[in-house]
Amino acid sequence: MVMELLSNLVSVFLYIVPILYFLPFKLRCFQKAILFLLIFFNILLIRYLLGNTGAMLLLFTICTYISLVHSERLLNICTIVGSYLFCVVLDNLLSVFMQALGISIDWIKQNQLIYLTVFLILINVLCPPIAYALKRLMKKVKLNFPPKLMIMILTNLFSCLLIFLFNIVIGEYIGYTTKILVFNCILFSCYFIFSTYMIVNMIQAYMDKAQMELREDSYQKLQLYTTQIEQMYSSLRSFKHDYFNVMLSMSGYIDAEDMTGLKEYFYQEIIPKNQKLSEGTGKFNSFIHIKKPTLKGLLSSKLNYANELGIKIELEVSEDISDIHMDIIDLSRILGVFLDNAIEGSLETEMPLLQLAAIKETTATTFIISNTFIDKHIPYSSLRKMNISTKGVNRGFGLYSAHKILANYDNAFLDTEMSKDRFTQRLKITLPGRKDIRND
Amino acid sequence: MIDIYICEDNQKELNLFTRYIKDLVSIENMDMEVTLSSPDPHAILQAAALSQNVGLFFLDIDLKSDINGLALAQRIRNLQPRCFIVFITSHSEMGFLTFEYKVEALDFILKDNTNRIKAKIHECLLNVNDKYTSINNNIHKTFVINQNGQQISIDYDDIVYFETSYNIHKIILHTSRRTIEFTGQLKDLEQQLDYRFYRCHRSFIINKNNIARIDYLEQTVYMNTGETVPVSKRMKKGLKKIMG
Repeated sequence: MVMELLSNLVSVFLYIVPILYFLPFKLRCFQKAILFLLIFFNILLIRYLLGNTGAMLLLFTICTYISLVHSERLLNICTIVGSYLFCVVLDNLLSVFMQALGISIDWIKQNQLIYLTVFLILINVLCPPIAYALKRLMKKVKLNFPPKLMIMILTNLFSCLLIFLFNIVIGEYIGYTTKILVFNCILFSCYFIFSTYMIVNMIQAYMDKAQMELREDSYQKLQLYTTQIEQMYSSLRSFKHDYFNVMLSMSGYIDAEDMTGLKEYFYQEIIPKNQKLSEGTGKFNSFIHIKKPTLKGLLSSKLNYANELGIKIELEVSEDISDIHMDIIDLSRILGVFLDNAIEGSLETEMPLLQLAAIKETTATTFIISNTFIDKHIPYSSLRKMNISTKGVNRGFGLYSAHKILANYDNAFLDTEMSKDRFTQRLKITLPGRKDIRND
Repeated sequence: MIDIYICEDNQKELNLFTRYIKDLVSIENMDMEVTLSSPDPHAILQAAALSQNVGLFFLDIDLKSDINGLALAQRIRNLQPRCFIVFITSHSEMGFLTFEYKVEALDFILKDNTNRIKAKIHECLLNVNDKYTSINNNIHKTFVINQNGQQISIDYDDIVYFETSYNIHKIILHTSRRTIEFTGQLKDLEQQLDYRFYRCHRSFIINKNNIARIDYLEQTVYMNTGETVPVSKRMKKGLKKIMG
C-alpha cells in the first residue's frame, strides 16, 4: 500500500518537473503546490478509475490551470503538451533501454518504484540543459514568429498527441498486448522526433530568410548613403573648380587695382555661392564616426527622409562608435522606432526639429533622439503598451515592440523625458554583465 | 542668492557678457550677483569650491587652457551637484544633447549675433530664477542616480513611483514627465528613501504625496498622473495605516 502511494507520488514529480523546467515563466510556491495536487489527483484517477483515458483529463486540467495563471496561453499549452510528450517518449526509451540490458518488463512492473526513481533522476539530469537551450531558442525567435508557423507547430504537436493517446487508450481497450503498445509508442516517438527535427529546420530556414531580408534592406540603405557621398563629392569638385575661377578673376581686379569692380564682383558673385555651400553638406559628415554599416545606413536614411520632409536636423557624433553591446539588428529596430516616432511627432509642430546624438563613454554608448512635439498629456507608461497611439486606432506597435526587444537586454537602459515642447529618448548601452555603480 | 560665474578666454567677449548679465540682473531685480568673470578656468573652480551659494556658470567651450569647457563643467558639477551650467560657443556642431547628457547643462548659447546672445542670456537668467525660487521654498531632497559616468538628480517630490522592470536588476523611476531605467534593487531603495515612500507591492514603491486616490477593494492606487499601481494583499494594511 505504501509502495503504491510512493510510486504515485514519484509519478507526480515525473510530470511536474519537466513542466516547471520548460514553462517560460516561474511559478510561485503555492501555484506549484496546486499543480502538484492537481497532477496527484489525476494520477490517482488514472491508476484506479479511468485507466489511460485519464491522460486526457490530466492534460486538460493542467492546461486549464496554467492558462488561468498566465496570459500567454498558446505558448504555455504548447509547452505542457510538449513536456507530456517528452515524458512519454523518455518513458518508452527508458523501458526499451532497460529491456536491452536484460531487465524484463515484468520486473519493471514489479519494481515500479525503482524504475520511477531512475526515471526521475534521468529527467532531472536531462531537463535543465534542454530547457536552457529551448529558452535561448525562444528568445531569438520570439518576435519573428508569425501566427502561421505557430499554428503549424501546434497542429503537429496536437496530432502527435492524439495519436499517442489514441494508441494508449484504444489499444488497451482493443486488447493490444503490452508488447504491441510499447512498439507503437516507440514508432510514434520516432515520428515525433523526426517531425520535431523537421520543424526545427523549418524555423531555422525561416530565420535565415528573415536575416537575409534585413541584410538586403540595410544594404539598400547603405547604397543610398553612398549615393549621397558621391553627390557631395561632385559638388565639392565643382566648388574647387569655381574657386580657381574666382581666385583668377579676383587677382585680375587686384592687379588692375580696380577696387569698385572688385567690390561688385565680391558681393554679387562670391557671397551667394558661400551661402549655398554652407547648407547641407556639413550635417551628414558626422556619420563617418559610426563604424557599423547597418546602423550608419539606418540612421542616415531616416535622417535623410526627415530632412526631405522639411524637418530641421541636428546631428552630434563626435567620437567613433564601433563596439555596441547589443545585437545590431535589435538596435536598428529600436532606433528605427524611436526615429519614426520622432519624425511623426515633430511634423505636428510648427518648427519641426529632430536631434540625434551618439555619445561614446568608457563604459557605455548612448543614443539620444530628441524632437519637438505637441504635448498631449498621455503618460509614457501607457504609450508603450500595445495598441495605444496618439495617431489613432490600429497603430501603436512601435514602442511596444521596441520595449519587448529592450526587455531582453540587461545592459540597456532607457530614459524617456517629456519637457513642455521636447520629447527625448536616451538609450544607454553598457558593457554586459556589469552590475555598475549603485545609487547614493 | 545665486552666484554667477563667467569663463571666457576672449577678453572683449568676456567684458561684453559680464555687462549684459549685470544689466539684466539689475533690470529684473533678481537675487543674483556676478561673483567672478575670468578667462582662467582654475580661478572659477577655486571660487566655486569656496562658495556657499548655488552657482550659475556661463562657460565657453573652447578655452585656451589645459582644460576645456566640458571638463570644467564636469568638475563644477562634482563640486556643486545642483548648480546651473550654460555653455557659450561659436561652434554650432558642438552638440547640445551631448552636453546636456554629460553635465546636465541647462542651455546653450551660440555666439552668432549680439541681439540673440542678449535674448538668450535673458531667457537663461529667468529660467534659473524660476527654478531657484521654487527650489528654495522647500528643502528638497533629491534622488541621485549615478551610473556609468552620468549623474541624474530628481527631486523626491517629483518622483511618482518606482517599479521593477521585466529584468530582475533594473528599476524604473517614474516622474510625471520622465521614466528612467537604472540598475538596482527595490529593497536597497526602501532603505535609502524616506517616510513618504511606501512599498505597496513586490514590484512597486510609491510616493504617497503623489497619490490621487486609493481603491482598496480593487487593490489599486491611482497616482496623480493618471497611472495605476497595484497593491498586494500583504501591503494593503500597511498602506491604510500610513495614509491615516
